Parts: sequence; structure tokens; C-alpha cells
Amino acid sequence: MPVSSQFQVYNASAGSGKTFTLVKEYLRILLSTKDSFRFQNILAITFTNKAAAEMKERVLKSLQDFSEGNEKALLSILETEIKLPQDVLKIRAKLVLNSILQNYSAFNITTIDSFTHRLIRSFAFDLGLSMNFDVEMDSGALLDEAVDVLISKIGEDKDLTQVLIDYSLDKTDDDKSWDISNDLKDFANILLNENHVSNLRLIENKSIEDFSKLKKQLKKEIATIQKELTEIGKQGLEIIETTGLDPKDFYRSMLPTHFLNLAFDLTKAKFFDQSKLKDRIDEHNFYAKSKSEDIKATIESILPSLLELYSNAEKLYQKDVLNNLVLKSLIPLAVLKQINSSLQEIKDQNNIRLISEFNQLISDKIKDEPAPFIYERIGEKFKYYFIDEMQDTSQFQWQNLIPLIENALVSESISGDKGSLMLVGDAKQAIYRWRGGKAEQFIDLYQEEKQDPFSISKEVKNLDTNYRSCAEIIEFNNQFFTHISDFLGSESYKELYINGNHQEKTEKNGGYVQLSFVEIEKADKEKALAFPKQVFSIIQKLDPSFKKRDICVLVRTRKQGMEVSDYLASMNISIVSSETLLLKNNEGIDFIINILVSIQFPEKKDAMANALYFIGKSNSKAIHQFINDRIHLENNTIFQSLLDIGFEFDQYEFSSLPFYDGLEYLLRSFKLVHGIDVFIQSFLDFVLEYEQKRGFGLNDFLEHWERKQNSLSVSVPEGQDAVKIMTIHKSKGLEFPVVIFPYDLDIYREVKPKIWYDGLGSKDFLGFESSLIDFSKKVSYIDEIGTKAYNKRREELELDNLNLLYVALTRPVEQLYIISQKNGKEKELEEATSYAHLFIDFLKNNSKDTAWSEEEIVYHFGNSKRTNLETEDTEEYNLIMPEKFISSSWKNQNISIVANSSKLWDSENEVAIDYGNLVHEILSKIKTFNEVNEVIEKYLFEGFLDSERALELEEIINSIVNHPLLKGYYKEGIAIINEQEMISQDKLIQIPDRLVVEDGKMTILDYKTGKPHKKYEVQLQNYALTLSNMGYDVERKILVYIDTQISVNFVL
Amino acid sequence: MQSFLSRVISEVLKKSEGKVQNKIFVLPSQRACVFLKNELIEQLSKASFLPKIISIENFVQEIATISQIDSVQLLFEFYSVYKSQTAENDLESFDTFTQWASIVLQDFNEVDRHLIDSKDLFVYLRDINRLNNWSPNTELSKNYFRFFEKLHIYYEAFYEYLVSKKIGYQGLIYREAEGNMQHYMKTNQGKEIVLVGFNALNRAEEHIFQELLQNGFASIYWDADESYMSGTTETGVFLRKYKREWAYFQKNPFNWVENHLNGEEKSINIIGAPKNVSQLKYVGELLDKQESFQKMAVVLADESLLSLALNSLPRKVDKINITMGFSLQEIPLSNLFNNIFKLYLNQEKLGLVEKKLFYFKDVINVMNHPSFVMLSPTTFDVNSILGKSNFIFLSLKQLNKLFGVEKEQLEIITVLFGIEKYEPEELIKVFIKIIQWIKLKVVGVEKEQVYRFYTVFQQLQVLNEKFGHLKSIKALYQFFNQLVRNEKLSFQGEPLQGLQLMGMLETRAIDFENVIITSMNEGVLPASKSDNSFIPLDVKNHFGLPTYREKDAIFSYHFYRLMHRAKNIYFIYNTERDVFGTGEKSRFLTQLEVNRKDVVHTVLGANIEMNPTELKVIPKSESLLKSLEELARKGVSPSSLATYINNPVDFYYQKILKIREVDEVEETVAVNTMGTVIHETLEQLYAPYIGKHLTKDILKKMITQSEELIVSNFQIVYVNGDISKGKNKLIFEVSKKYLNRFLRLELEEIIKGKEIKIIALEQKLSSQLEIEGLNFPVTIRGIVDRIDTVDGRLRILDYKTGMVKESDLRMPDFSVMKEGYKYTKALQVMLYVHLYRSNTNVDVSNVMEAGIISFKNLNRGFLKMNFGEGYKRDYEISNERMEDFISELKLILKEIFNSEIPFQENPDKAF
Ligand code: SF4
Repeated sequence: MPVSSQFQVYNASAGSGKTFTLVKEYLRILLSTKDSFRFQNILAITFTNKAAAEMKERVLKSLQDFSEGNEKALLSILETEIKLPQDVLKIRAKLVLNSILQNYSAFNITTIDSFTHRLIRSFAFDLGLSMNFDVEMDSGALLDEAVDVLISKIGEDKDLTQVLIDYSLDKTDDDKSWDISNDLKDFANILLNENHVSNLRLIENKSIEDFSKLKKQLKKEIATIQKELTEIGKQGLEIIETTGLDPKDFYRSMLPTHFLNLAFDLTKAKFFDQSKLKDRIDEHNFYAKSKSEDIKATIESILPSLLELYSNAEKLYQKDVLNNLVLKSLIPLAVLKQINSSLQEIKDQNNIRLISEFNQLISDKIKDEPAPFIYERIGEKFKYYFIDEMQDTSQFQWQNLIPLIENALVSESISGDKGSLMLVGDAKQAIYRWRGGKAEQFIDLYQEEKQDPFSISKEVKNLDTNYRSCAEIIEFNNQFFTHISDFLGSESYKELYINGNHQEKTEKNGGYVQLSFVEIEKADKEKALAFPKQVFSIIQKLDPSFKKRDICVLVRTRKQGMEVSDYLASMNISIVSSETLLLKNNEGIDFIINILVSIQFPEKKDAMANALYFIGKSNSKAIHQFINDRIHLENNTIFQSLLDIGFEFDQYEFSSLPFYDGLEYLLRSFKLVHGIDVFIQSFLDFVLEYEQKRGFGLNDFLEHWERKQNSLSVSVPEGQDAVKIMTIHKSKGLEFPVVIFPYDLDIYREVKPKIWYDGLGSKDFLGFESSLIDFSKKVSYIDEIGTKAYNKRREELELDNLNLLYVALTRPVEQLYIISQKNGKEKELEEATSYAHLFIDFLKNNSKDTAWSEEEIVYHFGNSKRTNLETEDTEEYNLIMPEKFISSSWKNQNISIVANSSKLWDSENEVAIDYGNLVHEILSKIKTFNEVNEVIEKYLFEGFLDSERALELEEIINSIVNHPLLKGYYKEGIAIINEQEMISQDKLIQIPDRLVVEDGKMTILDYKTGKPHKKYEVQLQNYALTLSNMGYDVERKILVYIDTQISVNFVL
Repeated sequence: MQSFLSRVISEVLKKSEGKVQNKIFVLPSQRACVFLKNELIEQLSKASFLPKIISIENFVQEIATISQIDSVQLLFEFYSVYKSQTAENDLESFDTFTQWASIVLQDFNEVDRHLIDSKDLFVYLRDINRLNNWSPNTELSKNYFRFFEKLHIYYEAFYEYLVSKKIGYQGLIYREAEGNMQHYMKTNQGKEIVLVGFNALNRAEEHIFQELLQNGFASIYWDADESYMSGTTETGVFLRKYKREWAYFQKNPFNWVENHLNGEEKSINIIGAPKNVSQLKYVGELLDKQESFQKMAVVLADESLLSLALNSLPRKVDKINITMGFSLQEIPLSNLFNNIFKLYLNQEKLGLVEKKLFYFKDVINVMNHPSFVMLSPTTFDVNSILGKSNFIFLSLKQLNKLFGVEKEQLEIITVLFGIEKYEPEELIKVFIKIIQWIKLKVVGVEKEQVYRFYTVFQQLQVLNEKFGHLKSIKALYQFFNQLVRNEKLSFQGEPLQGLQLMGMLETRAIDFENVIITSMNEGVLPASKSDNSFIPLDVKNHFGLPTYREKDAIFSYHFYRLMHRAKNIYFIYNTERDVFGTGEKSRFLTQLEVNRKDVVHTVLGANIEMNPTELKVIPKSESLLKSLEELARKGVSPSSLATYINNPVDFYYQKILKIREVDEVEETVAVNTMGTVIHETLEQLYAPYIGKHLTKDILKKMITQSEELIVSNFQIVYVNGDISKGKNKLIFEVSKKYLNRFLRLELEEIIKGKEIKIIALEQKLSSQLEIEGLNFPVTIRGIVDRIDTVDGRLRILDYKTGMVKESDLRMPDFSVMKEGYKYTKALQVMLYVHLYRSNTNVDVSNVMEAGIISFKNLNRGFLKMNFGEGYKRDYEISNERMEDFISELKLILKEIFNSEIPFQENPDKAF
């Protein structure tokens, strides 16, 4: 039994039992020691919360199963690996399980984000962050705000004003929108993405002036180059002319035309692969073979000078392309720093941090601290590391962990234990590049020749059995992905797909793959429905033994998801989706918002009209009358008018309630909920969260809603019997019996792509080294660097989108349905630009019945009849259906808010009573006369008194404690019982204000406010009765009336 | 089953033969005191003084004879001490100070409660620094330890200061109490203390308790379960320790360890539900199924869900007691103060303090607040008044002019917007003044709310008078927030009957038969492990200070203890995790599932009903038809036709219901303002030349005039707006550029030799159309921006500041016109032609072109109506085409006025 290396790298293709392996290794570390607390030294990092939860659960479950003797297979693997008898392991498992459950906080299986967050919190003070910052997830809205702030500064700062106005006017000249906010917002996004950090650092210290200078220079150069190109064109034409050649003597007049264009219409001049000319030049093919020798000779004679002109022009063109690209994004880049500082301000003001800045903060400020110091600060020392989904880890994330891990790997505990690291990943499933995920880090790790990040050498293992899917699916994916690996431009990426697709099968036989194509050329509306319709028909035709919840529809975008959910819902198929069921599409919620808008902005009558329509629509005939009669009235009058039809809503009542309360009141008033309505409930959750986090009232809420409404969807529990609809990204790590994957995808399409061009340094760009420019084919014309960058980006796009496809197609257990598209031209694999091309090319190379043919639109692999019927029920829990939605006002429950303290509050005619009450209260705090001062001071500090009133009260109280008749009861050295509770014979509680016992005799004192009254005397008599029942000798009963004057009354 | 407290009382009564007067019952919480007292009254059989029943916190204060001050006052005091101990130039402002100071105070608290020798602690901290001497010794770690050295100084000074004033925080009081035990016992001879229901004790408590017990001054009752008195569970970690370590228990029994958890049958239900609302609504459903609510508790582990819980109680629940309160923050009135704070904070942020100007949005928020509205003697439509005035920034004077119609109103506004100096004291005065006004208008609960705010400001005022630390409004705001968050309005209920709605901590020592606990999630129960502290974990361990482990153990005890005598238990947790993974189902539930076989775990499902969106339909009733007829008489404009085509319901709103768009303050020049300015300017520029041919000189002159005109037009159209800043500046520059480019293009045309003659500008036109099936004619009216001739050819021009593309004016077939918004530009142009034609009787064929100048698309020049099919161009407006157009137009009009066709929402509307 070889000892596992301290540093293991696992290559885990889809379905290869990655979690199983992780859990097994985790358990191995736990159980190979006597110390049942070793789990405290393990940090396991997963990509999602869900994965963390699953891993936790599986560890606990395994331990429980071991200790109860319910599990054999895994245990026997561990038995051989740890080389300890099962009995011992069982006992250990039990102990470990107990230790974990009893010290659960130290059970660190967590996401990288949580870990990072914790790190930042531990160092918040050192980093100068506020100690109680909130983390904001929605950074987009903040950026928008930051850009708006920047724009609002136009007119203040001179340089800034100049560049922004020029920028806007430049855009106007090109008939682009003058509104520059969107351009700036697009750019500002890079502030949130760690992919850009290193480049941004390069331009960090450039001033706006530097940018302006560069802009000026570029504009000048662009003009000069245009002139030079025109000049070259003219020269070329002249040379040809002087020889007397006819342009047609040249091969297709190409060369002459080129010069003509240069001379007269630069936009038509083509370089590089924009036309065939370049190829011809490379082939030295300038004239038809059939031309006379004479002509050929003449052409040859002028060729050297023409070609020189050509290559000069080409160089100029390259420069021109670069100049234009740089110029175009120069200004947004120039103000990026300002946007960033606005952003910073906004964050400080709201005491929030963005999750996206954590990694960078750690990298800048914490990473290089000594590892023991970091460990001490976070309060835990990890020795064993597990990292899952390594391929999606970003550069910062990984770099930040390296020092901690290195420390764990090299340091040795007293017992000689060394730390370890296990990395698991699959570069084929890297789909988070846009978020900073860097698959190449992982690829580098398992390539032998690459240098290791640690002083310990690694051991690479491949997991090559697919435990998830049925045979047909594995087979299909193996073949399909191996085949299309040729599509990938990069050799190392290609290798991934070749090596990674020899997955072994298990005994899960059968399975089914169907690949179908829809033809789309109809009108807009139909087009949107084409795929959803197919999805529906597939669901209809599924083997009836599948339940709805066995089905998952995978989509690329939320928009597609919504199309599918809308259609399926309209066909009465129940669906669940946390991404596509938007709250704002719900009628009831729309109504609520309209009412809220009407309350906040009474002049916005259209909101009220919408609300009235909603209320009155059931009686459609009279709807106009209904709205028209009311719309121009005041809100509250409108609401009152609704009383007749059973809606009782009072705007004033609404405004006086706490916000959440108000919303429920609104729901009740308009009878909006009948049964359980997940939309309304989710909306209420949103309201509640709003109130807890911000709570600035209606106006602010409406703004908040405005910002969020497009992303708010219902939250639904899992386990419903309904078709799931989710994006591929969400589906990562999951599996489903049936997967339907509709829609095609354009592999190279990006929204406003940009790329950093790093080659400015060697050119004359006033010290600028790199710039973010629009990404297009043009980038490849610039130079070597441009070409490389261009190709690299294309290769990455290819990999990323193939990965996405890989993730999608490897989710199913039993059946996979792909709905692709037949879109006109077919393309060779190398030229493919969409998934459809890949599928078609794959089919073309298939044999027999699954070979591509123009007519056939459905292709089958395997049998759609279900064979494995052992339905693993994914349901762990029973589902219960709630029946009621209870919303009721708490005021119905005999609950009210205590309104005692304000009773003491003065208002003109209550002065006397209030003084009295306050005096009363203060007296109860006083034992002897010399405590008066202290007590009053305390009231003063707690805000119950202002200093003026404190003085007055002090005087009154002093006049009581020093009152000639009372003085004796406030002296020192007598037994005092203040506000002593007692119960009478019949269990009534009585509280005399002050009992004084001197020489065995008792005096009862009770303070009263206002005028003397008989009932007080009765009360005092009752006190006396109880006290004498208790055996006291009650000598005197005194009533002290505190009014404008103090009067003392002895009760007989 | 007898509750723990009841058993304690029986036992004590039995032992003391009913004499309890000299007892002092000490309990963990105030709530427990109430229950114990009730139990006692129940069991007492004759008249008697009630013994003192007191919470441990108050008890300790009594021993120490030091009174506890609240956290706000504490910070003020601390800052004074800090100032006296810090060099002038190292001094941090009060608001930055409070950031870390509140955490430092927590650490001091712990250090004192656990009787740690502060010198040891701080020396130790310094020494591990030396010892480890981490290489590289980074700036960060050096700062960190330097900070500790300073902390030591602050600690000593602060402690001394507080003791001398006989005030303190909890920890200090504990430490002092521990030192004062001898004295206490001497002065309280004859008292018998009964310690009831404790679990985790800090070291001071341990010492105090042991001292009392050893001296025969006290007896103690625990509520422990066999299941955790042996073994290693965290639940019993404290109790096991006391039993093992206290000398007292060498001779005395450890009362009581019972066997509830494993010895009795319980029904335990774990229920998962997404988020909060469904959890609490399900609680409502559970309650609705109950017969009685005696001995029943709903425990909100997350107390912030109170208002949700209160809205989810079934009617059936008639008696209820609530031991939590609404925080003042939730009261709408607090928003008024927030808004006022914002008003002044933004003043500072926008640099308007000197000028004493207010940002209009802040003004609206303040003046629209219900409480402010209540104060105003007159009601205003603030939005539209400000909208008309269009001030972005307002001064007191302007506000008075706009709103100060009455003396009273004037006074309110002057107080609110007229603080003399930008200082916290001034603002506090404003608040207090406002409160006093509001007070006169409210009664009952609302008065209570107002009062509570009053005390908040009162307190701030007193503190600041005394200390003067609050130097900025920002700092004041910070404290205001802290205070309103902590201040709670409590509920009046039935303290001992019916349903108990409580937080977890209040359940201490109390028993229920039926228990529902919500938010059973990690991070709530137990709370998350991030404890705010500057003392590293290792150091805490070394000194025996509590860490998250101890906190977890405390929660664990609370949790299991509540199950002791409960029969039916529902644990409800949130199934949705938050981003950082908190929100996992509580470990305690996992423990139950692993360790017990009688746990039923379910998850709430939900039917998702998706109603396909219904489109609005408004049938044309009699009265609606009447309005339509009137509309026909008054006239339909091209733009309202466009509205109809885009969305008939909008047309209905605007033309029938007459809902107009309202004036709002234009913070930035809105696009239509820009349009108006450009239109106006063009009219003014060209007006002198109506009927004339344009020349180079004329255009050059216009170019020079244009800038000035734009400026003045902006001033007219965009009243009170400032165009020298922000987006407005941008728009202003763009408008200039647009005009300039337009005029230059026109100039070029002239230079090229075109003859342009202006015929008319802003020409108002109308005409009537008879429509088959309607017994009244329909008037069409519109204003044509410009009519001219170019080289003798008549042109009808419409200016648009937005983007219009050539394709928008391509109309080979008029039947598409009613299909969508995209064709309405062509419709408008054609309508102008029609209006012109019917007013002048010109034969349009061959002498006329019509189109649009789009300022966003000036490079394309004059965009003409194009009737060509496919890629062909055909600009000819023939009579025949006009006839086609009119018959299509009539179809649209017919639809509008058709009584059978309702106004129906267009699902594909453009906006
Ligand atoms: S941790 Fe909980 S139980 Fe312990 S003293 Fe604080 S509040 Fe009481």
C-alpha cells in the first residue's frame, strides 16, 4: 500500500465520482488518526454552497453509516488504505462523528467566497475597513451610480469636463448616442473583474492629461497616415500609368484597384485577409498566364516599387488600426480611476464592500503576511486542504491560498504528521472565465513539465469511470467530444478533449440520446416559440414512468429559460426554476406596486388607473365607468369608494405602520392572497429583507424595486414534482434522469468584447504600455502581439463554449435530448461557429442510421424506452403542502403596544400629574436623603430629564425628604423597604411605596399625585391589613400628596 | 409535568416552611423572574411579603453598588478617557473612534467578567509577538501589536475612571461585585439566596456563586439532563465542569439532573421552508390547528422576524404575550428623522452647506413623509409644486415662497430648513422642536412612539452638552441610528397566559409543553462564529476567555433545555442559503437526526401557479363612446395616433381618462426639453426669413446667433435649471453641436447651389375626415415644423432629436402602418402631408417631398418618405399614394371609434 503523496491532483471528468473521491480522502484523513478532532485542521473548499452542503452531508452520513455498520464498500476501501481493521475504524467513526457534531463550527467545508469573506473580516481593522460592513452582491447597480456621480461632476473639474464633453461630441459627430453613461458603464465593469487587475495597474498612474495628450497625438497621426496612404495610392497609380499598362493587365485588376482605393476612398482599401490580394502577393501571382510576355515583363519591372509601396501602406494600415482602436476607448479608460473613486465613496457611505474586491485585497494586503500570523488571526490552523472545482478558481484565489498551503505542507507536527493538499478539477468543465476562473492554472498543474507551486512534488491521478450516466450517453459523449476536439485551435485544449473522453462505463446499461434540429425562418414571434414547442413535445412523448421532476431543461441564458417556462406554463406543465419565474410578471405584485406608486406619487395617475383596472376588471363591461368615476379623485377618496365592493384600505393607516406591516395590511385589504401563492410570498420576503437591511420607507423601497425587479424570482423548495428549468451554469455538479437541451449557440459571439493589447510600450504611445480595445478581427492585423492575442482569445472562446456544451451534455443519467438548429450553411469543423455546426459535422462522420442527411431532422442513439427502472428516488424528505396563507392584523389579537412611559410626558395641562409621577418614581429609588442627587443625575443622563427640569425635580424631592413631618423617614440607620411587593391573603399583589420600621413599629408611606381622595385611604388600610396579617405592628399610615404643593396626610 | 420553576418553588417552600421573605431568588433573565413569581404566588398559602426575585444582572449591580450605563453613554465616557491618553496628532475623530471602540469595549467586558488580570493579558500579547518574531515582521503585524500596547493604557485609565464615578459596563460591575462579596455578605446577614436555572457562568459569577454557597448563604438549582452530564457533549460542558470542580459539590448534591431527553416520549418535527415568509406563515397554519395555546411558545430564533410573525397569527389565538418589541427603527416616524438627516448630510456631500441649499429630492422626501404632512396646516402636492419650479437646489427663502402660505407653515419650514449653524446641537434642537409639534397631534401608542424618539434626542442632547464629542452631523446620525436600533417598543399582553411569543434567550428556565422554533439555521442558532474581538483565539484559549466554542455550547444548552419538558416540538428552518453559506440547517437539528430515531423531517412544498399575463381590455361603453365623440370634435394629433398604435390602452389613459404626464423636477434636462429647445431655437432663427431664400450670409449669421439663442431658450424651457454642470452641461453642449452641424449642412447645400426658400414654420394645420360608419367627422390636427422649397420642390420637414433611420420611413405598403410603433414616424410625416394638402389644395404629385431631420442621424441629412419596394428608392408622393394612405388612416380611426372594438393592450408595445 503506497503512501499517498502529500499533494494530489485529481483529474475528474464529468460523473467520475469526484465527490465520492473527495469524501473518501477526507474520511481517510479523519480516520487514520486516533485524534478524533483532526477535522478541525481540515479546510475543504468547494465552489458552491450546495456542493459544500452535499459534501458535509456525505461525510456525516458515511461516519454514521460506518459506526452503525450500515456501510461496507467504502469502509473496506478505507480499511485497505489505512491498514486498520474495520472494528477500529467503526469506533473511530463514531468518535469522530460525535466530535464533529459537538464542535460543528470547526467543521470547515465551505466555499471559497465564505473563506475569503472570513479572512477579510478577521483583518477588517488592519485593513482600515469598517468592522461591520455589509457585503453587496449586486455591484452593477453601484457601478451605475458611480458613473452617474462622475457625470454629475462635469463642470466642476476642468480636465474631466473637457475630456467627457469632447468624448460626447466625438460620438455625436459619428451619429452615435451622445449619452456617454452607457459606454462608461460598460468600461467600468472591468473594475469588478480580477482579470483586468494587472493591466489596470499599468495605467493607474496616468493622469487625465496624459490621456488627453495621447488622444491629441493619435488624432494627429490618424490624419497624417490618411494623407500618407492617399499619397501612396497616387504614387502607385502613377507608376502604373507611366508604364502605360491597363489595370486589366493585372490579375483581376487587383493591385491597381488597391491603389485606386488608397488614393480616393480609403474605406474601400482592403488589407490582409480582407481581400484575396494579400494571398496573391504571397503567391507572387499578379497577372494571368495568358498575358503577353511584354506585359508580364513590364509588370515585373515595376513590381518591386509597387510591392514596396504596398508593404509601406500595409505598415501604415497596421498603425492606423491600432491608433483607431486605442483612440476609441481612450477616454473611458482615462476616467476609470475617477469612476473607481466615486465607487469607493459610495461604498464607504453605505458601509458596504463588494465581494469582488476581497480577493484583490487579500492579495495586496494579507497574502504576504506570515502564514502563522494569518492562521492565528482566523483562529484556526489548517493542515489539510481540499480544493474542489479547481478549474474555476481564479488566479487571486489560488495565489492567495498558496502561502497558507505551503506552510501546512512543510511544517510538521510534534507527532510527525505533515499536511496535505488534494486538488480536484476538470478543465473541460471550466465555465467561469468571465468571473475570473482560470482553467489554465489547473491544466498547468497536472502537466508534468510545469513547475509546481510547492516544494512538495505532486501526484496526478485520473478518475476515468463515469458512474453517473447510462452507457448510451457515455458512448455518445465519448464519441462526440473526441470527434469535435479537432475544432479546438489550441493543442493543449484539444488534448483535454481527447484524453478526457475515454470514459469507462458501469453496469448502468441502456440510456438514450436524441439529437434533433429545428428549422427557423419564420416571423419573430414564432421564432421565440420554436424551441419551447420542441421541448414541450419531447416532454409529452417521454416514457411515462418518468416523473416531471426527473426532467431538467438546460438553457444558456435566463431569457431562453423564460421563453421555455412561459410556454410550458401556458401548456399546463408545472415547472420550477429559481431563475426564470420573475416576480414582476405576477399580476398581484404588479397591483401592489401600482398602489405603492400611487401613494408615493399621487400625481402618477396611470399607476392608479392600472390599480383600478385590476380591481374592477372582473366586471369588464363597466370598467370604463369604474375607473373614470374615480381616477381624478384624491387617493383616500378613491380608497373609500372601494369600501362598497369590499375593499377596506386606508392610506393613513398604511403610512403609520412599519413598512412590512403595511404591506401585509395592503395584501389583506385588497384580498390578494387566497391560497398559497409563492409569488406573493417571495415578494414579501423581498420586502422583509428590504426592511431589515435598509428600511428607509416607501420612496426608497420603490427605487430599490426598480433596480431589482428584473432579477427577482420566486424561491421554491426542491423536490417538487415539476420540470426544472435552469441555466447550464447553475446545473454544474448536478445530475438529472432526463436532460433536454434546446437552443443553438454562436461560439464566437460576445457582447461588446474587449481585449487588452499589451504592445504599446515598444511603439510611440507616450509611455502607455497597454490599452483595452474593442476585440475584433482587426486586432490580429496590428502586429504579432495582436495576432497572438486574437488567436488566444478565439481559442479561449472555443474552449469555454465547448466546456459549456460538455457540462450540458454530461448532466443526464438516462436520457439526453438535444434540440439544435438547422441554419442554412453547413460548415466544416474548422470553420464551425455554432453548436449546430458541430453536431452536424459529427453526424456526417457517423455511420449507417445515424448519419447526417438533409431530410432527416431527428437522430436516435439507443432506445427511448426506459430500461433501468430502479428509480433512485431523489426525495430524501417528505413534502408537505401548506394549506393556508394566514395574514391577520395583530391588533385583532388583543395585542397593543405598551404606552406607559409617555404618560409621564408633559403637555401644558398635565404638568402637575407628570411631575408627580416622575417624583414618585424617583422617590422609589431613594433610600436616604443623601441619595437624591445621585438618582436625579442618572435620570438626567438617560435622557428622561433635561437639566432644567432636573433642577426643579431635585427641589421638589428635597422638599419631601426634608419635610418636617417626613424627615425622620429618610434619615440614615433605619430599616427601609421601598416598593416591597406583598401578597394579601387572597393573593392580590400590593406594593406600598415605602415602609419604615423603627423600634419594631412600622410606618407606611404612600405617595399620591393630585388631590386627596378617599380611595387612597382605603388602599392604605388594605396594606395595613395585609401587613398585620403578616404580624407587623403598623403604627402610622401616611399619604403624601404631591401637587403644586406637598401635603402630608395621616390616615387613621 | 411539573415545570422546573414550579419544582424549585415547591422545594424551597417545603424547606423553608413557607417563609420566603428573606429569600432572594436570582435567575438568568427578567422573564424567568416573572414566571417564578407567578409560581410562587400560586403556591403561597397566606399573606406575605414577596421575596426579592431578581435577574443576575441586577443582582450583581446591587453587590457592586455600581450602576450600569448604556452603551452610548459608555462610548462617550470612553472617548473622554481616550482623548486624555492620546497625543493630539494621533487623535481619531469620535466617529472613527467608535468604530473600533465598541469592539474594544466588548473585549474589556469579557476580560473583566472573566476576572483576567489585564496586565498578564496585555503583557502576554506583547510577548507572543516577541517570541514568534515572525519573519518578515510585517507592518501589518507590527501595527497590530502596537495597537494592543495602547489598549492596555486605555483599559487601565478607563477602568479607574469608571469606578471612581460608580458607573460601569457589565464586566466591570462583575469584577467589582466579585471583590465586594465579603462586604455584601456582611451587610446582608439573614438573607438566603436561591440561584435558579443557570448554565454558563463567567468566572466572576463562578466565584460569586461559590463564595455564597460555601458560606451557606445560598442554595442552587440546575436544570440538567442525564444525557449531557456524562460524556463529552458540548451541551453539558459547563455543568459538568461545575459539578466536577466546585468544592461545594464535594459535599452537596448537584440538584437536579433528570432524564427528560431520552426518558420521555416526544414528538419532534423538523420542517424546511424556503426563506422567512413561508416559515412564519406555516407557523400560523400550525397554530391554527391547535386546540389551546396554554403552555405553548413560538420562539423566534431570529428576532427580526417579529413583525412577520405578528402578521401571521390566526384569529384563534386570543391571548398572547410577546416578550420582544418593535425596534424604534421600524416605526415610520424614524424615517422622517432619517430623511432630515439625509437632507443635511447630502447638503454636506454636495458642498451646499455654505450656500444653505437643499437637494430637491431630499426636500420631497421630508415633506412627503406622513408625519410631516400631518403637521402641515395645508396639504400640498409637493412633487408638482417643485416640479413646476424646477429647482434642483432650494434655499430656505425659496421654500418659504413656495410653501409658506400660512404662518404656521412658515414656522415649520423655517425651523426645519433654517438651522443657523451646521452643527449637531442645532439639528437636535430641530428634532426636538418637531417632536413637540407632532406630540400635540397624536395620542396613545403614537404618542408613545413620539415620546421614545424624544428620549433618544434628549439623551443625545444631554450627552453632547456634557461631553461635546459630537462634532459632526454624521457622528450624530451614527448614534441616532444605534439608539433607534436598540430601543424597543414593547407589547402589552397577557404575561402569563396564552401563547408566548419570544426570543431564544427569554426561554431560559421556562418550560412549555408545545414549542415551535423558527429560523433553525446555522448562523442564527447558534449564531455565527465571527465574534467581534481583537483578542486572538489562541490568547483567549490561554486565558480561558470564552470563544465561539463556549458560545456554541451555550446555544446548545438553550436548545436542549427547551426540549426537556416539551412534548410537541416543531423546528422550522430556512432551506435557502445565503451567499456565504450561512443558512445551513442548524447543527442541532443534524444532531437530533443522527442521535434520535423519532425525528420526522419534512419540507414544505408549493404549487406554482403561473397565470399567463392577462392583457388589459377596455370595452367601449356608452359614456366612453361619448368621450370619443368629443375627442373627434377637438381633434386627434399625429402623436396620439402613434400612441394608439403603440398601445391602445395608453391612448385610452391619455385621451379618454385624460391622465396627463405630470411636471416633475427635471434633475437633468430631459430629452424632450432638449427637443423643445432645439425646435424653439430653429424657429427663432428661421422666422425672419419666412418667404425668403436662404443665403450664405443668412446661414452664417444664424450660426453665430445660435449659441446665444440656445442659452436663452434653455433658460426659458428649463426653468431654474443649471446647465453648467453634470449631464446638463453635456446636453447643452450636444444641443449646440446639433444646431451647429445642422446649420452647417444647410450652408453646404447653399454653397452647392441649392435654392432653399422657407415657406412656413411651426404651421398649425387641421382638417376633418368623414369616416364611413361614423355619424360624426373626425378632426385631425398637427403642427408642421417647417415647410420649404428646395429648387422649387416643396418639402415638409419634421425635426426629431431622437434617432430616426432611413428604414423607419420606408413604406412601400401602408397596411403595415398600424402594426407597430416602428412605423409611426412615417405615419406622422404622411399625416402632415395630408394636412398640408387638404389645407392648401396643392397637388402633391411630383412637387413634394416629406421627411424628417433626425439630429441623431444628421450625417444622413434629410430623410425622406420612401415608397420603394425592397432596395428600390421611390420618394414620389403621388395623389394615388395619398389616397392609399388616407384609406389606411381611416381604418385606424375607424378602429379607434368603433364601439365594438375595445381598447386592448398591445403585448408588443415598444415602451
Ligand atoms: S452568552 Fe447568552 S446565556 Fe451567556 S450570558 Fe450572554 S446572553 Fe446570557
